[in-house]
Amino acid sequence: MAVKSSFPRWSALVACGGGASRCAYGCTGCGACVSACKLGAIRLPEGGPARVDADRCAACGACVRACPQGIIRLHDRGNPIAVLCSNREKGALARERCGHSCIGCGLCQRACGAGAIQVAEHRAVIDEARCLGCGMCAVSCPRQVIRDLRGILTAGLSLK
Amino acid sequence: MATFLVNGRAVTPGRNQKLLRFLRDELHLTGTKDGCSEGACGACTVLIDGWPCRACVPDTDTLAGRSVLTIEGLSPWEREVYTFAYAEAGAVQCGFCIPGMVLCTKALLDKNPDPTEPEIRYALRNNYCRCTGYVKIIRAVQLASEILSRGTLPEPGTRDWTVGSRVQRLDAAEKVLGTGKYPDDYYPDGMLLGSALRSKYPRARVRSIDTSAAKALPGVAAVLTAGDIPGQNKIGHLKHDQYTLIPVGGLTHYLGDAVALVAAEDRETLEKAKKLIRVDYEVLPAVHDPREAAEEGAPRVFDEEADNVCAHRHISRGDAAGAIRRSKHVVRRQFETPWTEHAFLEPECAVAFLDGDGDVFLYSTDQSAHQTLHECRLVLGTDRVKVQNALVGGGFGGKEDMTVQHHAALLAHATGRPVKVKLTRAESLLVHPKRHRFLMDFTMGCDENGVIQGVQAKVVTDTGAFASLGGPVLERACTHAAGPYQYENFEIEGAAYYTNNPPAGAFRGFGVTQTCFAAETLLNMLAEEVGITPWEIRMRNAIRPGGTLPNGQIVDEATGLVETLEAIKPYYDQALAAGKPAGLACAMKNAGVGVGIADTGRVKLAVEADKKVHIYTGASCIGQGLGTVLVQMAVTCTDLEREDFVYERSNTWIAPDSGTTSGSRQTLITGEACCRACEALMADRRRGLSLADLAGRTYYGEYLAKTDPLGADVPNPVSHVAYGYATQLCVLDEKTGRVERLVAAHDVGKAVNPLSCEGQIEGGVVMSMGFALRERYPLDENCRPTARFGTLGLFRAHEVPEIVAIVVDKPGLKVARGAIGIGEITSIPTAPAIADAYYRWDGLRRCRLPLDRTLYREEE
Repeated sequence: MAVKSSFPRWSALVACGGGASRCAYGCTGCGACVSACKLGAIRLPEGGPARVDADRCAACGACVRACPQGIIRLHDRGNPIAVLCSNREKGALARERCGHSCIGCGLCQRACGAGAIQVAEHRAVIDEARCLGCGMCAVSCPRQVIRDLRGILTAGLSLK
Repeated sequence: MATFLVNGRAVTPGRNQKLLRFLRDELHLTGTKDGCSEGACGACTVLIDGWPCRACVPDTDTLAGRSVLTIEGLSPWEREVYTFAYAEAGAVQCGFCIPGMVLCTKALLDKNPDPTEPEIRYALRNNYCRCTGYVKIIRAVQLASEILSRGTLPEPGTRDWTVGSRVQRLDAAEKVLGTGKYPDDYYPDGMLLGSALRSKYPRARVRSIDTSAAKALPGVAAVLTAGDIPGQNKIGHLKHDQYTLIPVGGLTHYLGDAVALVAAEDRETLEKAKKLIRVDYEVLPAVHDPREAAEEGAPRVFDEEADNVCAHRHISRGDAAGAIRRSKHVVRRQFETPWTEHAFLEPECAVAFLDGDGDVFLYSTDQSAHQTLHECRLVLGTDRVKVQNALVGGGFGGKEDMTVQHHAALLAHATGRPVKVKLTRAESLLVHPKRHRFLMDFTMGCDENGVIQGVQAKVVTDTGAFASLGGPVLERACTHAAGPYQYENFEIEGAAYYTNNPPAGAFRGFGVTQTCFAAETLLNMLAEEVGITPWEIRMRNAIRPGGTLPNGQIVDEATGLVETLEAIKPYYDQALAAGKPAGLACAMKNAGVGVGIADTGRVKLAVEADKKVHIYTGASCIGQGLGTVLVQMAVTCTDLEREDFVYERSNTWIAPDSGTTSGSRQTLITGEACCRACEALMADRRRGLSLADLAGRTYYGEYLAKTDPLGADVPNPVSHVAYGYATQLCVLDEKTGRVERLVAAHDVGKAVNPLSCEGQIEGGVVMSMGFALRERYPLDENCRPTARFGTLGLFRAHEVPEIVAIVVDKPGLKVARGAIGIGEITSIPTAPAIADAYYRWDGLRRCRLPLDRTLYREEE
């Protein structure tokens, strides 16, 4: 069942591209979000991070509250560009722990023409109010951490 | 290599490159505009698999299997719909952002055929427009939605092309569909790309330049230095102090000074060659600030000058000091306004080549083809130059100076091949003159009734690395600082200083934007001291027909300040009744250059073999709609129909020089010249001759706007032939402090095209909302601008409040069918109106722009 569309269209987003890995900050696959979601909008692929079916999500925030890692947030779907990593460790360590981790290299920050990205605590963070949704950061990211959720400029949510 | 579809056709680029480069340079689909190549502006928006994407972002290798749609790929029905909707709504001005906007419109309507206004704003929010304030673009989307659901095109609102009619602009279709050409859209065969190597330091002496390695690089066609200039090196509008190339031994004045020029076969070689040029500099301390520039013993920006003073003005009438001393209420404050970047969507570009006559021919985006001609002739040392205006993607004053034209001309002259010189957006931000930063000290006094007794002021401006129009800007700032009020005692002293910052010059408002902020803020403070409303104090002081301005000029019957105040009144009362913070300000702005300078409009009507009257005038349309204005005047002044006229873009070999598009002058000055040419044509028409009979004949019209020089020894000098007047109102949401509504009432004389007038007002108001609240142009310690296009703080579609544009139609002047012109004044009273609204909101008087402690701006 698709939920009634509201505007602007928000939905939950799991800020992790790696899934079960040795990273202490990513999705552990515990399933708390899946249990919390009354609309059945979240699925947990084996070994991968939890994924939200945006068409079913009502942006109620239950999963956001349930996530023990605190890596689910509500995201404005009108902006297709998102950082799919919640790492807070130094680049070298992050690279070792997960193949899809932000290593804080700052290429995105330099690529951004809107001054909307800052690397903070070793990972890229987008300031949604400034972001123009162009995806220049996404195409500059050497780690496929910043994605175009539409799957146009980069692979979408799933790399598989 | 990847294969994908472009407008339904399979393509396989030969090498990996940005999609934008492939579309433009290889497929020549030039409807996709290149405004920044940084992902920020949105002008290159295309649809990929139906989604709006900027073409400057993806590499072609990543697009395998995708379907790309450019503006050229719209279906015939979509073309009709979007052309009609954008034209009918009046959404097209310079047009550079429009193809991108149209594709965002299509992406929205394909998925959501009946969007709400917030949804439309949201869909357009990532695409910048600097001309329209988005108001009419949003209306165009609504109109397109209605037409698409109805399935048939409606009739246009009017087919009447006489003066006063809201007719569709004549250049809308070519701008909507991307077929109209800006200079960057020309790709002559064998074209080279040219670029300048710029100074590494804001102030340094060039010891030596070694170009041998760059010249030896394969693919480099020419490397030029100052010694290669056949004519004179220094050019400029009035004062010739802008170096085309800094010579060995010469001083650099800012980071934008060119040291060498390179022409090469492709971009990569060009950039490589620039890196191979070795320049040895003696780095010298730079001047960062006008106060620093004024100090005794300060480093001199110019070797040629004794000090750093670019211009000085002192204007005094009556006894300001005495009047203020005797005033019941006196207020004094220091004000500061920042540099402002024009941020026109189209970066500077020129294409030069040798034409069939052996002349250097230029396609140029500028505010006067004849000015470009004049300056290029000086540089080349020959009269064998022709300039043709291409479409101009916005100017706002920023395209009055030479930036690329003379460089392109030099390179084409040296190589004998076509050369395109286009500034990157970063170069554009550095190179063209900005709005001046002003430091002001204003004192105003009034009597117990709020009647202004006198004003005294001092202003200091930073005119940066060369004069540009720094002198006239200072002059206009001073002559208009008194405001549109009737009082006698006025004294102002102003000085413009050279610094090693980027140059400052013309910007919509021409200095008045800055002094108006100071004077209007003081008037609002006086209103409070007297205990009357800001509206009332303006009504008591307003200049009325027959009254004398502080500059001594007796104003004519057309003067409509009071009418603009009355037009604002209901909105003001409504806001006050609702308990909303509301701020007011007024302004006046000259139309025409004035102050005794020869200001001539010239129009030539040529009846050509196609039995149509071609309108030639050396006056640039920079997006404001000059062509439409002239055709409306011509239809009004003759017995001919719209279809009988063809508007020709400005050029220098047929079209007579009609002056720069500056000082809100074209509608009035060139408009009157057009009316006079029509009179000459009508003399023949009245003899019963048809256009077929007249083929081959030309008719000439000229109008000299005669004014008195500043300080002329006459009791009531005529400084300007006409002034426009305005009152603007800002209403805030009382809870959030967000700007809820801006109401702008403008006395424009006779509105030639009210639709275009509204567009000017909406765009000007939103531009100055940026000036008031958010726009910044910061410089680092090396005098380098640190902003990029996307960080300037320009307002976006979803952030713009309700704009109410009121065109007060009060004809009176006997020239140009009573039209005055509207270009600049739209931007002048906005900032003080907003500042006063914020004062009503939180009790804080703000004397610096952009205003601090508002929700539009993070604190530094």
